[in-house]
Amino acid sequence: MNVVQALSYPPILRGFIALVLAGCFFPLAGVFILRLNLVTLRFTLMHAALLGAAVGLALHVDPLLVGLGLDLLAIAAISRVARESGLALGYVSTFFMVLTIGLAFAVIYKAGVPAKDAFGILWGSIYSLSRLDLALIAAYSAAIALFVTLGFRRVSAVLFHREIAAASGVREAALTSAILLFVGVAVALLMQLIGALLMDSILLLPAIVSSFRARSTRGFFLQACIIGAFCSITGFFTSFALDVPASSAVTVIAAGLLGVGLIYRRFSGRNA
Amino acid sequence: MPEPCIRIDGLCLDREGTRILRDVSLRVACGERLIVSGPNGAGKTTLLKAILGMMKAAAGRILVLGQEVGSREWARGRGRIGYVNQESVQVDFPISAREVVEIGTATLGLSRADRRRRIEEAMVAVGCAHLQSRMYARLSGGEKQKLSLARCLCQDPQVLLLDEPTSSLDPRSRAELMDLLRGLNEERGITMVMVSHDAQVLSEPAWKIRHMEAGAFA
Repeated sequence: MNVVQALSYPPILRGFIALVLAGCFFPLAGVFILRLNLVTLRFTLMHAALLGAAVGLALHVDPLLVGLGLDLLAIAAISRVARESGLALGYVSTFFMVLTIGLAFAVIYKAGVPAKDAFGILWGSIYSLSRLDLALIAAYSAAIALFVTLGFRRVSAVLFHREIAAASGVREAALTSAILLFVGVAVALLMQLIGALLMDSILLLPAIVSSFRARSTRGFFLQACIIGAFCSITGFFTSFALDVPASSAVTVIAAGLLGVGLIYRRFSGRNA
Repeated sequence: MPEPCIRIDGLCLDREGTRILRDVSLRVACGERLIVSGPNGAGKTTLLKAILGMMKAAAGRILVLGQEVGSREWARGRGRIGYVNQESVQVDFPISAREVVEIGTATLGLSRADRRRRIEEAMVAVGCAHLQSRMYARLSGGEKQKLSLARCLCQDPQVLLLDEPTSSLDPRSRAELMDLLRGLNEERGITMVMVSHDAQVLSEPAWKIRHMEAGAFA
């Protein structure tokens, strides 16, 4: 079966569209993760989504929606606790990371959820997306693109220095919460799309490669999107050509680009 | 007697159970240049942050440009207060010099043309027009501080708060920055409050000096 024939099947077409949308727009959230050092938060959200999947499977509710809901709850709780306790986001995230994975295993055991199903979220599948999943991915893509484009100066102020942003009249706390929200939703959606194990290929690697070349924040965002789009589209077609899973192909291409980026960085003398 | 630009009455401020500012009162007239000096831990930076509304007072009140800090009216006019922070910001992500200055226009609701004009005028005013497309991370400490000033100038400020702006500068850059501040004060009438314990800065003749120690003015 060639690619054109394959795309005539709705699940494959849905998977392709979702992958392209994710490649084009989800690296914007990767820029947030890189700049605000939210790597621990990302793991917490993955664990919360796993807990959500377990709860969803136990209650026979859509695991994606429950995972999304729990990610949003985790974001709200982490922001609140960090703000009120004055603790660093990383410490608070670590607490929730451990708590959610502990609860996930408890739910899997007590509710008799087949571990295979619950852990299925770790590797995801672009061809098992429902129309609702695709609609959520499209809505998220539009929302984050508008957020970054229309609020660029405010967003870049927060990314630059939160205190200076606040002193310049930017509602820094609200914007930081919005940024955390975008990261949380991106993680939940990508777990369904390509799985927890491979999500960095779309979320983080394009942003990292972009940081090697970009000279401005606008360029940073834009190049991350272009690199993400390149990885997802070439990954999709490569997966057909080589008969390998699409998520693996996307990941290998993104990792290859990161390698090229590291070599570029080494020889161009770029440190920032 | 005209209303001062900054008026602080009986300000007390606590952090993590420790009193940082004790019954601080201060008047800064419009157009005045004031240096708040004192040893590390005296509460100088905390005072600036309180004026900016970043720290909540335990007692007392602060009026800036006639509005009580924290009030709705103050929040609306917050853009008229510029803030130059203690150290040139260390960033490890790509941001251009122009984008840093542009932050000053973030909440002003200007048209694209007005924004561009204001950014360019601010960069020319501090002598940084040639740096526009340079990466911020690659600039010297002096250049970064000038960009901080340009960012504030975009806001067309009436009050400028400066937290040890010369602390990481070499003597030449320090002199350039102080000249720049003097010029802005004389030409635009911007009220300036600078926190510093730099001996060279404290010897500047046109600045009024108040000394702080253990959370109170001496």
